[in-house]
Amino acid sequence: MTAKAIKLDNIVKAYGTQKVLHGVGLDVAAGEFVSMLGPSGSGKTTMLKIIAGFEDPDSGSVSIGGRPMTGIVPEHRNIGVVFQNYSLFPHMDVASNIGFPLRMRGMSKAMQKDRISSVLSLVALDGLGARMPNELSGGQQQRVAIARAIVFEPDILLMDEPLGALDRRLRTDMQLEIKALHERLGITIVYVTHDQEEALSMSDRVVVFNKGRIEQVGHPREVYRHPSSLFVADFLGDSLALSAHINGTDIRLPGGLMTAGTQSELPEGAVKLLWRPDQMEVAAPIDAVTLQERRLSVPAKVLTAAYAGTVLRLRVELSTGDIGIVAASDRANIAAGESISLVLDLDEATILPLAASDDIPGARR
Amino acid sequence: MTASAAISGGRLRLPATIGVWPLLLALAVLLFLPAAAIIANSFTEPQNAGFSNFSRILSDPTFGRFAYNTVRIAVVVSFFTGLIGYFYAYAIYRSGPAGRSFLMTCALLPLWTSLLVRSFAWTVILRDTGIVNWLLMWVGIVDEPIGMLRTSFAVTVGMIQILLPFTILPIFASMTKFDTTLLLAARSLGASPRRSFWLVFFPATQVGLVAGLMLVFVLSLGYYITPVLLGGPRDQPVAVLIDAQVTTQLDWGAAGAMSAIVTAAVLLMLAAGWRAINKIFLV
Repeated sequence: MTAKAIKLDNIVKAYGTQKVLHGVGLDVAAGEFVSMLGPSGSGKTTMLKIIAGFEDPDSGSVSIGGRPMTGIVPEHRNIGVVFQNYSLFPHMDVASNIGFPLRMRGMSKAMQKDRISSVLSLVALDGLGARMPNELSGGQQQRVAIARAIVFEPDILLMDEPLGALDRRLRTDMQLEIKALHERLGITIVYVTHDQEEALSMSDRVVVFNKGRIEQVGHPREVYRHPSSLFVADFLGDSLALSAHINGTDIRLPGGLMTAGTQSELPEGAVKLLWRPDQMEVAAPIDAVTLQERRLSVPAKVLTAAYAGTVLRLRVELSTGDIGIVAASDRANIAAGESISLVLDLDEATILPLAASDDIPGARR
Repeated sequence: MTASAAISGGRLRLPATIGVWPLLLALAVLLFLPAAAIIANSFTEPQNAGFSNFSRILSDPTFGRFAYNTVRIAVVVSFFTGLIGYFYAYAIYRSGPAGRSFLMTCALLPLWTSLLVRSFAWTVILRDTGIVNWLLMWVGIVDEPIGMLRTSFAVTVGMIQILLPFTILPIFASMTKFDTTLLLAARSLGASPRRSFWLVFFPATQVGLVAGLMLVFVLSLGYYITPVLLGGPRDQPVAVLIDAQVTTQLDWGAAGAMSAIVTAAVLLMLAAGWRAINKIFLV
């Protein structure tokens, strides 16, 4: 199967007076699996519609395989699209649904039949060609939708929250299957989701959208461990952020403590030091903040404790007033209301500038 | 509490346990019993008639002619109400909010006017000195009025206009239930807008068309006033013949047998289209 690269150049889109994309640029390599991740209204779905040709950008351009898409209607773009609600044609059986794009391309009946049966076995639905869509389970319908979107060997495959309507168990299975399919076909995939786990587990790169802009692009590990903003840090998972202040290379910590920053290029002024739940240790309660060999101990109070399988998920409030999530061993037996302390390794912290907008939602407009 | 609140709030409310029984009772007394009585005539007038009325009617060429008129008009009217209704409903569906309510009002307006008034209005429009002939002569297409009244054309036009809402409404209902992402899916799979319409939109909304056609066909079978006012002698339906049996021949047996045949035809049609009607109006 052919795989093509996608180039998005400074895409701007507004609906009426509401600007939904503020100049988005992105390069997707041929064969790459890229997730567009963000909350609803962040512009990711609009971006997908613009790539598919369902919407035209107000300015900026899309090119696929080096060919500019401006003025090219969806039916001539050769792009496979998988929709959240499957969008199977209800009056056609599975085989006719999958055969639809082949029929549109004028393929002979005999060739259609071959292609349909081979793609059906690819998505493990052998022999179900004569079923009607409403006779299939949600997971099976989604497989048919995927089969229909790849049967005509599209240049790229777009998926718009394709697993959103499935239950959790099935979703994890389908994630693995889509990933396997990607490896097998080598096709370029742009995958829109608001589920950070899905984005992290499937993609070569994650593109985080926020308010019509790309907030960060990177390998899943990179965006998770080294978020470039508090928004990304927050959206990609649990964390604990400690307020601090930076003056040159000095980091002023709570409790009047000072240390030197070892990271290169420290931001100036108010910052947050951020740790993921697994990067903190839970220890016995203490009275005040202490610093020992770049390890900071902070008194904390457990607000809620939720059992989450292998870990206890603790929501804690530090003596500094900061609130965050910590993972403790499920053998720790900690209850809500208990006093504990947290041991934080300063060299593992991600240092994020506290932009004025970060604490006030909607301030950056 | 004000007086009006007391009235609307309490006194007129019926106990919930009554359910739909009052409605069924009204239907029984006002519709089913009279209909049954008329149909019963076909077996009891004259006494011990058995099926003799039916064999008499079915072998009578007059009944055959009137039955043919009825079915012919019903088929033509259904065809055109279906065709016009589908595209009118599509126009409503594709309009903005203001256009929608305007087009919808235009479609429903005839339903708020009496059938007799509407049929009579058509006689005024189509007569020799009516607006249509006046326009045709003014433009110079014809030199003298065309006799349009008392023709099949007049009956067909009148009935189409009167019955149009019965196709527009179910078709529009089926269109509002249509999932528009199906059209995006079709486009992404390589279908042009025209092919997306015919291969995806039309099949998905066909059920409304079928339901509307059924209604119009069934309603057409029982039409009386419009054919009498607008039609010529070759456009008179069975209803007119039944009326004549009762009012001039005093042959209640024949009238009952004809009514039974029309009723059976209507019920058969409804049964055939039940799936579509059920889908549009009851789900």
